[in-house]
Amino acid sequence: MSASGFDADRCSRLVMGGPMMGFALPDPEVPVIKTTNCLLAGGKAEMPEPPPAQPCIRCGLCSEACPASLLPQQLFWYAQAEDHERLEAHSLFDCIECGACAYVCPSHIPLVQYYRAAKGEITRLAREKEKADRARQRYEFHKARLEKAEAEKAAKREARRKAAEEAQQRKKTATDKPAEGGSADDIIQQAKAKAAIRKASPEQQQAKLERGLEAARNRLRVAEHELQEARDQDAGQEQLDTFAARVEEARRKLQAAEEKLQDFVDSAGVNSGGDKSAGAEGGGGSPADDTAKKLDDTIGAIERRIAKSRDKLATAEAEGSDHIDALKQGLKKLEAKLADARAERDALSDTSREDSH
Amino acid sequence: MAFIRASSPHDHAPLSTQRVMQYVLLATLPGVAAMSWHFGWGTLINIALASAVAVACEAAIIVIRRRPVIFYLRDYSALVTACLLALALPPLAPWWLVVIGTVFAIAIAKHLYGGLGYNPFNPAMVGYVVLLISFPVAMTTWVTPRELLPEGVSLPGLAESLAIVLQLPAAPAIDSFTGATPLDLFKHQSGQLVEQIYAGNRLFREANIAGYGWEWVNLAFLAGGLWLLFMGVFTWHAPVAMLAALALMAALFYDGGSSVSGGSPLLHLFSGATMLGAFFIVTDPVTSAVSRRGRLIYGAGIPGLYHPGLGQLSGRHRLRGVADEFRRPPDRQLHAAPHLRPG
Repeated sequence: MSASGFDADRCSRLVMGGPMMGFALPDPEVPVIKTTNCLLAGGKAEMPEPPPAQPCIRCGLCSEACPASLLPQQLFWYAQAEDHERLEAHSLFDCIECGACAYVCPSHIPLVQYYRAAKGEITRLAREKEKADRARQRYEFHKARLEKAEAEKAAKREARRKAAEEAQQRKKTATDKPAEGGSADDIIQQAKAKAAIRKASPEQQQAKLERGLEAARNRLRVAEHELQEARDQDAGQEQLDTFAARVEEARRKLQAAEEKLQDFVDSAGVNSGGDKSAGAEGGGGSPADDTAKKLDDTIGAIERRIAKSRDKLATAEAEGSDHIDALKQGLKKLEAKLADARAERDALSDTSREDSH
Repeated sequence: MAFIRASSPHDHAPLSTQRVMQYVLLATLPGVAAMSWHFGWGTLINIALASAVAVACEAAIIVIRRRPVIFYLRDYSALVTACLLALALPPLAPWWLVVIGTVFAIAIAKHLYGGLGYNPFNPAMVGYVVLLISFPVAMTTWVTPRELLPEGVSLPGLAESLAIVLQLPAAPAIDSFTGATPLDLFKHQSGQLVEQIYAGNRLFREANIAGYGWEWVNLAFLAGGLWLLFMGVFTWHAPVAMLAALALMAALFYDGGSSVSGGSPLLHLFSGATMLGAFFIVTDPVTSAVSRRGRLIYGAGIPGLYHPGLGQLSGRHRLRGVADEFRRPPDRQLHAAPHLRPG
């Protein structure tokens, strides 16, 4: 540029391109590219600072100058108002930014700048909207997928449950055969039989009871420890009473657990003993005999429990404790159970006697 | 190296709002000269007074609006408004009439709406209408042209005119040189044949086309308007449309001179403020149509709305006249004295 006498000090504006559509360069370090057609270095008089814009006087010269037959005046008012809908309705994006409207505007309004800014804003908003739309789509799909997974899980659960029910139904129909009739007693007996079948294996039950016993022992130990601590710390009489009561409860529960385990072991032992004897007899004996044996064991167990609870009741009455009523009720229940079991046993023995006849 | 970072385009037409306004002011000069010749000092006093008041008012309002004063005064728009209003007012109108009209025009009709470019109505015409409604008598007291004055009476000189305008006690009586306008005369004497009206009034007898003195004024304004057209300040569509429509309407209602006709087209075209309106009011860019076709329709619609022919048919001239005047009445004489209009 210095070859053509370029004087940077006197240059007010350096334009790459023509005076109408060229762009002003910030400094001459910018390289010349393939599409550079000319360079204009205007002095202060030729290319002064753009004067401040005056209000639009609606002369309409811009519309007459526009080569794209647009309405620059309308575009200007809408660009000022940032009315994007109307701008697009007036074909803002058909503007080629030639600068003819700004050239003739008597009020020196930088019209092209307004249109460029409006175009940029509209494009930016459109891009953001697209992003938002896509994000929303992905979110909805994600939600749908999760829901589907949930639904599938639920369906599987349902299917499993149904299958289990059906299996039980089939089993039920199998065990229903010996006990026909619709009396209430029969139903109860069927339910009891089902429960007996559905019970866990003897080993599992014993293990469970032993665990319960351990837990009860631990609880008693903790309660006694707390009571001791309270005594050491000289706590109030109320607190001591509370702790003492807890200890008592823990003791009772421990006793109950022990008894349960004992009963179970006894019945299981009798059972296993009975089974063994049955096995020793060489697999003889009908199912009715097995049921009879079970009932016998149950009766025995219940009788033992009744004896124990009678002892407890006697002790309680002697001490005058609060648990008398509870113990009495428990005793009554046990006796009822015993009666039921005896009746069952008798019925079974009657039928077996009839069968054998 | 700090070059200006400006947006394209990097050049500008040698046209600016300032320049446009200056041209308009220059174009009124022939008309002003004609009016001053025929009607005396009154017009010039009006213009001076109105200009001073307008500039002061505009400066005050711009300061209130916290804008740069010089920048906004420099676009000459206040001066143009003042000039147009002053030309529309009777020459020897009292000073308060001019002041009120100007203040109303600048403050309310222009700045209250947002300033230059935002006003829906031409400020000068709004001021005119306000004065017409409020002071009808003062607004219709015109001056008899110089040549038509009776012997021994002459138009007041500068000092006398000032005295009249300022309503000083030393002012001479004005009855000797006040008179009606051509169309006023026409309106007053309905029932007479046009020929009789023409014969009975010196204003018409001495005239060539449309009322003595007035025709010169209109021709002067026509010249100014044509010059503006030549300079490209506006396009021909609006003025030509208006004049054509006016002539057409006049021709429609002119049946050769009977007692109920409305005056010949020539009369209408060259009397009153027709030319002033056609070339200076209708072409006001802020308040006129933007597209060329729009200007044609707009210009044609104005006479169509309140031509006296139409006025004769309906009874509501006053209301329509006032309402229409709010836009830009090309010929104020058509409804200068609504209460005197026939029908």
